[in-house]
Amino acid sequence: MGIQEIRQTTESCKHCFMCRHACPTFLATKLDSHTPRGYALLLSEIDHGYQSWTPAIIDRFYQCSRCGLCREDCAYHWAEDEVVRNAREEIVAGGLAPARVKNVADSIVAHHHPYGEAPDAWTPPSAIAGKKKAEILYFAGCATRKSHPEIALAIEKIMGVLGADWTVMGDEECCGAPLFDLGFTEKARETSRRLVGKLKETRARLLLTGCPHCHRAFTELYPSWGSPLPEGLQVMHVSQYLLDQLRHGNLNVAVKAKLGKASYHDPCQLGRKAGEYNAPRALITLAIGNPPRELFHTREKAECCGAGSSMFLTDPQIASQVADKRIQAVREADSDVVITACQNCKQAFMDAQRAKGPPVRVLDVSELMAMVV
Amino acid sequence: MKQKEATFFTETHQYELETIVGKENVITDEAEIDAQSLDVWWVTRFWKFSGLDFPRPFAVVFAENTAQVVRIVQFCNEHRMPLIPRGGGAGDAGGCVALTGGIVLDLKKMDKVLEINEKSLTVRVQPGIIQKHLEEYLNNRGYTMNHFPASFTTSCLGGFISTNGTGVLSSKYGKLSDMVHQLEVVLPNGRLFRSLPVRLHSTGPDYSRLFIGAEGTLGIITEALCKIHRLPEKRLFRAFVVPDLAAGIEAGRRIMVGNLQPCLLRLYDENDSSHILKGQFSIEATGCVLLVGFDGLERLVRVQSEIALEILSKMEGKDLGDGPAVAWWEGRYKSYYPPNDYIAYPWMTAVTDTVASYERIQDIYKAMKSAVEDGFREWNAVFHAHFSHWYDWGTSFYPTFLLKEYPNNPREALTLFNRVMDAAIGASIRNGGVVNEHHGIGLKGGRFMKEIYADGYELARAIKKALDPNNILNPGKLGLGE
Repeated sequence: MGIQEIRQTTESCKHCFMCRHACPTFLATKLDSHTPRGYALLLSEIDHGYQSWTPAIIDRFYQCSRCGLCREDCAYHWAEDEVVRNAREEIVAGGLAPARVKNVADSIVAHHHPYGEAPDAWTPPSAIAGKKKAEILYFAGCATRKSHPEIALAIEKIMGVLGADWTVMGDEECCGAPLFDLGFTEKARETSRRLVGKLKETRARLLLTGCPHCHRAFTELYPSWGSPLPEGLQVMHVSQYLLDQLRHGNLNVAVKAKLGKASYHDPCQLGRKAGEYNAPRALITLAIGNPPRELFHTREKAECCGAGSSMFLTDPQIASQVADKRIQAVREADSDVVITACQNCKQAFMDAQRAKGPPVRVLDVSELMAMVV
Repeated sequence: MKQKEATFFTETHQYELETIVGKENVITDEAEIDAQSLDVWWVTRFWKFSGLDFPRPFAVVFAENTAQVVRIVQFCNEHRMPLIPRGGGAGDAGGCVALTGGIVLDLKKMDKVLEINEKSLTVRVQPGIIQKHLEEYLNNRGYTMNHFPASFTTSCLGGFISTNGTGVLSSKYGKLSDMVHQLEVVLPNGRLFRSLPVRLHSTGPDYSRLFIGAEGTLGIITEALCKIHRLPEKRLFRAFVVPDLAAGIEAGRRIMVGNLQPCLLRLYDENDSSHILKGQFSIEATGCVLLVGFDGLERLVRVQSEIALEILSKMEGKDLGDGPAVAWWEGRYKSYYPPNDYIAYPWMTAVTDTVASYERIQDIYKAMKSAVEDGFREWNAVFHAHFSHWYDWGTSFYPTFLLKEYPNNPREALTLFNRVMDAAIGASIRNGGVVNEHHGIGLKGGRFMKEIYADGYELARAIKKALDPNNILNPGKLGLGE
């Protein structure tokens, strides 16, 4: 935990500028202190006693979306995103987390989601209300539950078409990934232990999530924290599940969506972290009749939308600057619509376009599929 | 030359700057000041982690357009405030160190491509664009600038122009001075200068040349019209081992004076070659590695490469085929990443790239190598080099010295560094070499400028004094201080 865990990376990267061109936060702000080299340099200075955790330095460490593009771009894949996370652990351990970050973490601990007192925006349909056990457990994710009911409604429609045996957790809570990203590692682990206990009770065979952050938490983080999922419980992102259903003939595209020119934005957690680039593209191709227009930087090299690491909640202004760059890439691809597969990306793209026009339409891949099945 | 007196940066200074560029573009916090107070020169890196006091700017100011640059320069003149233009900040000569405090003018927000001319093959660009981004823009439209330096992914066009840099394909496509057609520059008095719209003319001297390689001491580049090329129909590479350095230099000379226009010509000395042959090529051989490449129309490439291969064969070059050379091209930036690059370690190191005519170049190489390795044997000094930028009148080599051990006392370490620099650069100058070929002078080489230019140095000082009487722009660089 903390600085000592990543000292080799810090010392290696503190004078290296090679990945700067890729860093989405840097591209939005142009601050050297927002680059992977900047983070490594500042952390090394602190480690060697030449600098301390000042408010400005702490701020910078919370203005990285941990999208992992620096790691992907690096010839040797130094884990700069882990430098940032470990630094945050150090900040949290020292009781130095900024109020805006602590508020998000406190909300997750107290309310089991980062949105304070906000009520759920989506009410599960009566057919599954109170249903404790089912083949498929749909884990909507915090942003969908609180801000994007349209995504959950799309899933609801598709599950109806499929005639699936599905349900949701009555007391679904944050998966803990945001706590981990923000440096509250022990709180994240506590969440994983509690959630795994709840998952065991459902006896579901498939854990279906539309949120790539949750997907990564269940597939990668929980096992690494010693909280593996119940045996036999498969985890799928919605895009993977829907493609699987289409390929097995359980679902059919009834009509083509008339969207205009559409591009696909790779969510960092689904793409770089989970390696899933093809399923959403295949769905879009089936839904609109042609492949999505590729953005200039795409797949492994796709830039972040700015929402990663809960930055759309902790630093919405910088998140919007980052998202705006990605929206520019959508415009440069001459697309009118951007489709993504993460509700946080959707939120960031919408936030960035407020008071600007004409807007690029933003859709989740689930919404698109609900239009055509 | 009048140097500014000690300067303070007050709230009023900050307020005035904020009225010019907006509050969000004046940064005074320690996070950014720290990140912008050094480049990759060993001395600045050493300052940072040795406990010594070192110079820092008072503020980092971002300009978003030429009009703002004009007003910032005027502000600095009024207040006698040093102004240090900065792009990527990845130079290795301390060129953007705020030696006497002042303001770093960060140009990275001036990063727009303004116009592409597909008939005359030029592109008009702002200086803060990262070269990789410019190249991506051009590639997307079927063009290239063919400028591929080590800092391709991180440095900005303005920095390359200001140091008159070169890339690995320079033997065909030249230095930045060959690539720039027109410059817009904000002069130290705040007036705007725009050079003539064509690169070659007889309408007086080409005044734009004053600013190429001037490292921001004479003006601030705010726009450049640069040459572009169509993406090549064919690009091929070949690797050879030649018996020794002399054979390699002679082969390279014959290829260049034969006007065969290789895009790539790289010759490694024995030290570098032994590492490359074993570590990268997995080949048991002795001698010097030579990489050669040609690009353009396929038919021309075929003829040019055939003649070059004949020359190399006559020089007893052993053909290793295209595999190792293509692998080098595809992984050409890999050596600049940690753990490969020396900057990932605290080792004392510097590059002192030297250019000279063919009859002198090998003697200069030998003299510099001996000055470093024999002169600093007690510190196990190592000197190695590759010859990577070739002309039809001479070539340059890119030498690196390396001392993994040095005194624990920071001041003694810095003294040792200066002694090694004296020895290496002195050996070059005495033998007719010119240091520096493409990394710029900055602070690192400033103290050698009088000796390098001899009588010509007074002209450089006179120009600086005439253009920048208050010594506002990047003071203390290029040896133009008091």
